Amino acid sequence: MKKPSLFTRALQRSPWVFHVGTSGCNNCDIEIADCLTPRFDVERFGIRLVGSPRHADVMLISGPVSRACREPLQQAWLEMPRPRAAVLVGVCACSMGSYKDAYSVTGPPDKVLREVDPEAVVVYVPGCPPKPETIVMGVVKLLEALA
Amino acid sequence: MNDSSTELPSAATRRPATDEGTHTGAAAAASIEPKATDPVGRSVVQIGPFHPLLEEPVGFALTVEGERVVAIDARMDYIHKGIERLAQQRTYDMIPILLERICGICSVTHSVCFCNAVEDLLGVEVPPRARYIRTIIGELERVHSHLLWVGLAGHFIGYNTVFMWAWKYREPVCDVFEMLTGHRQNSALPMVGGVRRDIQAQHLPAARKVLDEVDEKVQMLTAAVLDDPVLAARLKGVGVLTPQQVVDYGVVGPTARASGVATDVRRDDPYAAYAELDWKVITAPEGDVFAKAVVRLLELRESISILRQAFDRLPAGELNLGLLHVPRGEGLGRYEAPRGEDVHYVRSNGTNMPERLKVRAPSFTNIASFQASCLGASIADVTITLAACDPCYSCTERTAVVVDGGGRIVGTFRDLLQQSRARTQALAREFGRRPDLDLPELP
Amino acid sequence: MNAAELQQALAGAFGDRIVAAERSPRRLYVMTAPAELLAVFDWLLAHLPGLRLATSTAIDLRDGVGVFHHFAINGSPLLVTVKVVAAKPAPVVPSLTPRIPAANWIEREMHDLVGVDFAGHPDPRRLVKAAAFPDVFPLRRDFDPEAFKESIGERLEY
Repeated sequence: MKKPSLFTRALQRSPWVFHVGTSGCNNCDIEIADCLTPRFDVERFGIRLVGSPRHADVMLISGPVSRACREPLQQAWLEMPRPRAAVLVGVCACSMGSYKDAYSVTGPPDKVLREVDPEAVVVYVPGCPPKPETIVMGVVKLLEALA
Repeated sequence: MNDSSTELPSAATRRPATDEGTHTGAAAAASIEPKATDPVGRSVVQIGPFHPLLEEPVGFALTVEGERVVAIDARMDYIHKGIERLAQQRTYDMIPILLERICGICSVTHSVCFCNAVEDLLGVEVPPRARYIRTIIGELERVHSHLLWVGLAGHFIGYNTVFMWAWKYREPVCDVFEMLTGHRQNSALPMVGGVRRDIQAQHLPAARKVLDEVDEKVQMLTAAVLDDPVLAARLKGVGVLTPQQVVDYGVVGPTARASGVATDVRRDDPYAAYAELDWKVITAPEGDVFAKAVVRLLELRESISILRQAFDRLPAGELNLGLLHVPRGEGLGRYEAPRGEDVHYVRSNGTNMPERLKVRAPSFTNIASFQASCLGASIADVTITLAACDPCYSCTERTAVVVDGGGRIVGTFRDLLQQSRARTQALAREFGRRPDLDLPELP
Repeated sequence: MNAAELQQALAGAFGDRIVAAERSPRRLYVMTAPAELLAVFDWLLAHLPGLRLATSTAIDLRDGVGVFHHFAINGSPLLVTVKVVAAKPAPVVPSLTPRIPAANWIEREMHDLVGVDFAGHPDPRRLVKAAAFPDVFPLRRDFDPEAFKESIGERLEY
């Protein structure tokens, strides 16, 4: 039996999101948290931040992945049940941003994830930081693309 | 691979990391080794590396005996990005834009502090209009940063209305920043010798209107905080730093001022327009978490007052000195970030890139003071004590982990948060009140 | 006390064991030998109420590794920087940590990034370098990030 698509599951249960900040400046992380606040209020779309990757459908990742974050990030990804997808928030997560030449980082996150899961589904939301509206748009586009 | 989660290394195969470099992913959880001197029976609680509410990957190791914290350590490598080296490979003109991205909230802080350092080296003062513009964007940053902190503090103790409310009123401040500079946080305005672009007079009335509303709301919030017996019971006497500890650990900012130590770079080593404006350094004597909250709330209103004055007195004139060259030399710049004193040391060899840039954000020293403020704290109080110095983890490097003497995880950050909120709820029951503030309905 | 006054007082106390340069009324730089560091620190602590360690900079110089301790005084604009230079290849400087807790983390960071040892530091563990990071010093002049990444098998492909 064909597994239900992420979009289908989202219709049934709304996308649950696990947020991982990997050594970024935290600006993207704050804008992600902003999505929960009254002006944007993503909970009305059923998007919920959860406390464990085991409960998540979508992982929001920010930052260029410091060396120390690399394996915890991979571990968290592998703990997510399928179907799963990653949304890379901010230019550091998308393509290293200011940290391209930095000695302590080992991203970008899509490369790090694909080391342990070559078929990882990834969405890119560039910006420095992207505004909350843009982040929500990225998640919505992901769901539409997987429908 | 099938659809169930990939098997993780079992607990039996997880090896703790050592400095020799053996490092498995799971070992990240146990990589702060309990010291050999820890007596049997002590346990350590894990906080991190990832937890849900926006926090950066952080690792604090708390060693607890029963309900009390007896030791605290931190692992600071998760977020080390190597900014100083990057800066040493950028020109003086590019560096402020890089440094805005050390920290999400302290963007003006680091870019202007760097400018202060280079201008110290050069022995120059930037034009008056540039000084006022730097003041304006700096104080706007302080306002939205303090509001962010208030919301987080509310979240940690379970006052969720406070979280939603504070972050709601933060938004229009970010809007004002965007209206004046073109971006919600990273303006790219500061440059060595002044500012890059102007702010438009036509925007000032709208900015004033927002500040008037935020001022009114903060007044309301401050009154509610001061009036709430549950908050007083919950936060007074918690996480105390004595004035001597403040000096010994080099603590700065509201964290220091809440222990009665009147240190504020804007007054002590003035930059931008602060010496020309009328404002007060806010202190409180008690040194506890409650005092730290009150200092930030009062500073919020003081910042709004500074902004109004800066708008009123914004002088006409040049935006920057048109500097082209930084000769050999060294300079030290300071800046009062929302979290305290930021220090930049710059050394020039006469080329267009600095030979050395040292950045010390306030949280680097403030976080270390956990050694003093968290020792003896109860588990329920640890999260709010940690949060009370407003640790800007991006400015520093952060990680948090708690593990027991045998390497077993005995609690997570979520457990600590839960305990913190449970303590608030228990106190609320004692006082016969709802564990939250009564603030006007959120639309 | 401004920089010039402090410079005079220090000259009186230490003579030619220090070399002081006043860059501006608010900035004084004092150079001394590593062996004199603790004596100079003790003097500053005794004579400047409100003294605190703001931060320290480690720098790879041609003739050694410099450790610059930047001291602030609450309520004053003055920053006094005490500089020592320790010879390579194994630079060692006395630790300030037993004297003042504020030195603890910054000395550990300086060790991680520039590779100077702080004699007498009670807890010389890594602070900012990941456990998996090899024993190299990223802020040394001869550190090459590209070569380093190649050597640990990391290559970025976009």
